[in-house]
Amino acid sequence: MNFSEFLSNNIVYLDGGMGTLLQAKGLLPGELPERWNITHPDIICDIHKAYFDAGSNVVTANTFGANALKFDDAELEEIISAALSNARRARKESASSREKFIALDIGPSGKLLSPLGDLDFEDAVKLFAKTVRLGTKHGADLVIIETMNDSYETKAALLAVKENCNLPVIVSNAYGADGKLMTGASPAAMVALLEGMGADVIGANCSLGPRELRSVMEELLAVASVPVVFQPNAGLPKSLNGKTVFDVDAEEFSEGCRACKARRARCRRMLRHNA
Amino acid sequence: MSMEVITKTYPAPDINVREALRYAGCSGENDEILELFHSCADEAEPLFAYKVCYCILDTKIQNSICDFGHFSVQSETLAKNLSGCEHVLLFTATVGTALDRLIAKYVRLSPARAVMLQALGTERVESLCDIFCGDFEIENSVVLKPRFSPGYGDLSLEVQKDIFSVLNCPKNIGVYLNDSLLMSPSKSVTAFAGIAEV
Repeated sequence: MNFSEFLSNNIVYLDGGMGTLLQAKGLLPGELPERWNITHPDIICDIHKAYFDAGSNVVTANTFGANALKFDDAELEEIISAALSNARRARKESASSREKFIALDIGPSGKLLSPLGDLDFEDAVKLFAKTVRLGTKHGADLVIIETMNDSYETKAALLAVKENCNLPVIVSNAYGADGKLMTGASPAAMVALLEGMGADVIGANCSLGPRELRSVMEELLAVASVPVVFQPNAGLPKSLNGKTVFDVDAEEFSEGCRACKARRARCRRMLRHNA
Repeated sequence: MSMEVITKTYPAPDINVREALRYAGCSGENDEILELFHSCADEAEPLFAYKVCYCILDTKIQNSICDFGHFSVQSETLAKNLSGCEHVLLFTATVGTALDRLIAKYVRLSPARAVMLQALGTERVESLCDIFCGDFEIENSVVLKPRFSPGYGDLSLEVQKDIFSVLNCPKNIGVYLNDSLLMSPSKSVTAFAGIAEV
């Protein structure tokens, strides 16, 4: 069964975070996590396998920042190839009987598009296109564009996907506490943009916990005619008495997700410590 | 101390009108200037999004080499500023992108308004830095040395790349580093602040 067929009849469970898990395993500040696909494949595979075993239908390959701004062409292909290979190994080794898919993960480029920044729109499309072509070549089942906080960059990434492959695509944006993207777009505006461009799933991830993200989800569900994805944070890291704590525990997170499931959100992310 | 990068949002700090007018290059105040200032402030204030991301780094200063563990930088002036500190607060602060769009609009419609908005934006981000540093001192029972930003003294702008790499500013607070090593949004500040124990 391909992902589109599964999506049409099921609630799809995605995976959880990768970066924080790699930090716990020794990823240094400033170190590029994508390189761990090559230097630490077993760790990457184990993380994916744990998510599959916990019930995820989709794992996102460790390619969030894999783009030509950070890696030359040869290393970029090596990283994407290794990332998808690690995920495939995890799928093979997982004991879960659920349907399991592997997503090429595309995160922000790290540059702001002009005129606010200095990355030209067409250059952004070309940048993402390179990643998409490599992901398609090396066997991704679908593409996830995530954590985008700028509608223009989201458009560039989705255009790159549409022009370079036929894979299903999930697009998930990072909304602020004001319920809008950093550059001002509302959830309704993003639905109009992304549905018009043919996104298969639209939603929100990161920045906020399940409670704070709920109003964004309500707006998305009210206007979207495609499935909606909900991927909240487990709160934000806060400094308390010199220690770092997260203000959303597993129970509150689960309750928040259950509330959205009741609102017929079609996909959701699993908290890593529920895995 | 923790290497975790923490993100904080703030309500609007009180406006220091005199400071903002100083940034605008106004040698004095008159009714016309104040009216322009307050009109700009009323238009811009709902658009500001005050955010800071920060971490604490171990610090070793040897001659002009400042070693922060994850990166090091050669700067006599920074080394002097951080002298005696074993830890440094590294942070990025911003008031968001919306002001840049407003300024771009008024560059075409009203240069005087654009100048005043520029000055207001500078005052806002500096006030945010003041509030953030003050809160940090109180919460951690420390005293901070005067903050020191890339471009000050002989501290090269090149260190911005290391700062952005460590703080992951694009993801955490939506601040990006251009090829020119200037930041977008333009009203953003990166800085080192040496931590002196109380």
